[in-house]
Amino acid sequence: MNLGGRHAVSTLNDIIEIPIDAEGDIVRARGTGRDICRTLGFAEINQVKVATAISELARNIHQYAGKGRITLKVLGAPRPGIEIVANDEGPGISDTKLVLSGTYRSRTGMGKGLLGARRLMDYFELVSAPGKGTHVTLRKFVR
Amino acid sequence: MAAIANFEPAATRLARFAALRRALSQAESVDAIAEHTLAFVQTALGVRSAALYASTREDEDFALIASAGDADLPPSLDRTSPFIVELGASKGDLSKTRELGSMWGVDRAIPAWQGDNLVGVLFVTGELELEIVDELQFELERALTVSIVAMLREEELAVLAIQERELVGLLREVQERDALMRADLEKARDFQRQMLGAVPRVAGAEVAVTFEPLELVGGDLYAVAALDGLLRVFVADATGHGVRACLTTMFIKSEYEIVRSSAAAPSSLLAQLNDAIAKKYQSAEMLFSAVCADIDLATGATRLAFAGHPPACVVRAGAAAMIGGGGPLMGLRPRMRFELVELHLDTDDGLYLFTDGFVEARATSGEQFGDDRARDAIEAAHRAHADVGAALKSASEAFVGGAKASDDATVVSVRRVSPEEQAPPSLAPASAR
Ligand SMILES: Nc1ncnc2c1ncn2[C@@H]1O[C@H](COP(=O)(O)OP(=O)(O)O)[C@@H](O)[C@H]1O
Ligand SMILES: [Mg+2]
Repeated sequence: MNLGGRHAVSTLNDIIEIPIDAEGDIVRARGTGRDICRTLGFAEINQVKVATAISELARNIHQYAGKGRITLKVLGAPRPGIEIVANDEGPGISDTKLVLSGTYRSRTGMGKGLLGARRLMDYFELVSAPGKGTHVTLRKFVR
Repeated sequence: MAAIANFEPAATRLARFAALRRALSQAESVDAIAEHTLAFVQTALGVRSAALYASTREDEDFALIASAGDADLPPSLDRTSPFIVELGASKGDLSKTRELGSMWGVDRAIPAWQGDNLVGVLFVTGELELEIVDELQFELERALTVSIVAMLREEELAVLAIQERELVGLLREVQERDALMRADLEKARDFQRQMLGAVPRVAGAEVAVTFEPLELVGGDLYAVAALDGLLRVFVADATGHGVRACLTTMFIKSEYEIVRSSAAAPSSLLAQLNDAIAKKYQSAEMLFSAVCADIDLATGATRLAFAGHPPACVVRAGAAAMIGGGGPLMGLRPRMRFELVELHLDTDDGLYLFTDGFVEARATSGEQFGDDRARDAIEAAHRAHADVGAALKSASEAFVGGAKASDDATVVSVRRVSPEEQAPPSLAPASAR
């Protein structure tokens, strides 16, 4: 128990960058995110939510952009939590409003990944345009 | 047109624009709501310009959804701006909205609430009739609320969908890991069997082993070796079973090999082994029971020592008896003493060393197979020249019935025979074992 606390402090300023190049990186990104959440003292259910959102972003990078990276950052005071940034320089999304509208259905998947990820998180920002890549920022706070 | 409209009663005018109103009340998406709201205010109220801001999430700023006319408004309104805060606070006080609207160069700001949450703001410029504004506010609030609820439902469905996908992924991972682990375990089993090795052929005795780990690998260990006419048998049982216990057996085996040929008697062998292990693995909880027997194949003189181990079974002149057993457990602490048990084995007598697996097996009733039944089964099999290990196993299994085995089980059988009567050695060279 003491170990956990000490570890949490040491990761306070940590920024972990996980390149997404292959399918296996999705699992790695998710696992790393979940580990960080556990260390930060997230409730079990919220660890799963964060991990799930990371999976979706990483899968999108792998599926649509081919490669990119997921950056995990520990947020300290005043509101401890985790920030997840997904960046890629892939084709971008032409209608971000549509993919978040709830009425969108994609050919490739269910068209629910980004919408679901938004719902699971406390903060969601999607910046994407054709030729500009896709940049998603998520935040979840410990409480 | 606005001038004419002012002479017409509001109710009549509302009836005229019923279709527009209905379109607004049936709009589903926020964009459609904005479109119909603008159509309504322009046609029914004759306003010059209008703009709708909405926020579909509690924590999000208000975005400009649609505008018409010449209103020059920012693309978004900060949820925490004084304007929004004041608008939110003025709930029910529509007169205040004129004042607020003027801040933005429009005539009025019409708020839309979902309960106590401000979910939208409609800015309009032009002369307005409050009665119609009331109606409009009502429709706008309802439409926005419905769309927000629908959006939330979509989001919940999306969450369910991705959580299901997550679960499927996790499941696949677990299965893959399981398959990997199983493959590793099978390798470990082969390794354990190799380490334990085949039983050597010795002149003057028939030796057989039954080795039944509960899982693929187990915590039981045996070693049989003949050295200068002396047969040395060692049986040990590490606490627990499975992979952890199997690891312990590897350590025990390697330490045993070191003391095996130097120790003069079973009791000193156990003492040396205990010292080595208790010192080396102090913190590692390397606990096990053991029995060691030396049989002089020429004379039949037999000596045994036990370390926290079940008794052995000796069959002399066709009669079986349990002997020995007990003693301090191995690995607990160094410098322990082990008692020596001495007996004589005639030709055709047998000595059976085992771990507790078969003997301590329990039926579903809770009753143990036990020493007495084990002794009887051994005696019968010995007299019939049958495979004693196999007989003990089947008797124990028959006794427990449907109950599952709960521990590893090992039996080492030694039967003294006169070398002349012994079956000729098989053609396989000894080194091939
Ligand atoms: N990183 C990305 N690069 C390019 N397009 C993307 C990216 N992420 C999402 N998209 C586009 O947005 C759509 C919606 O994504 P998402 O909500 O994850 O649903 P799905 O992946 O099931 O289609 C995708 O169909 C794809 O066209
Ligand atoms: Mg996706």
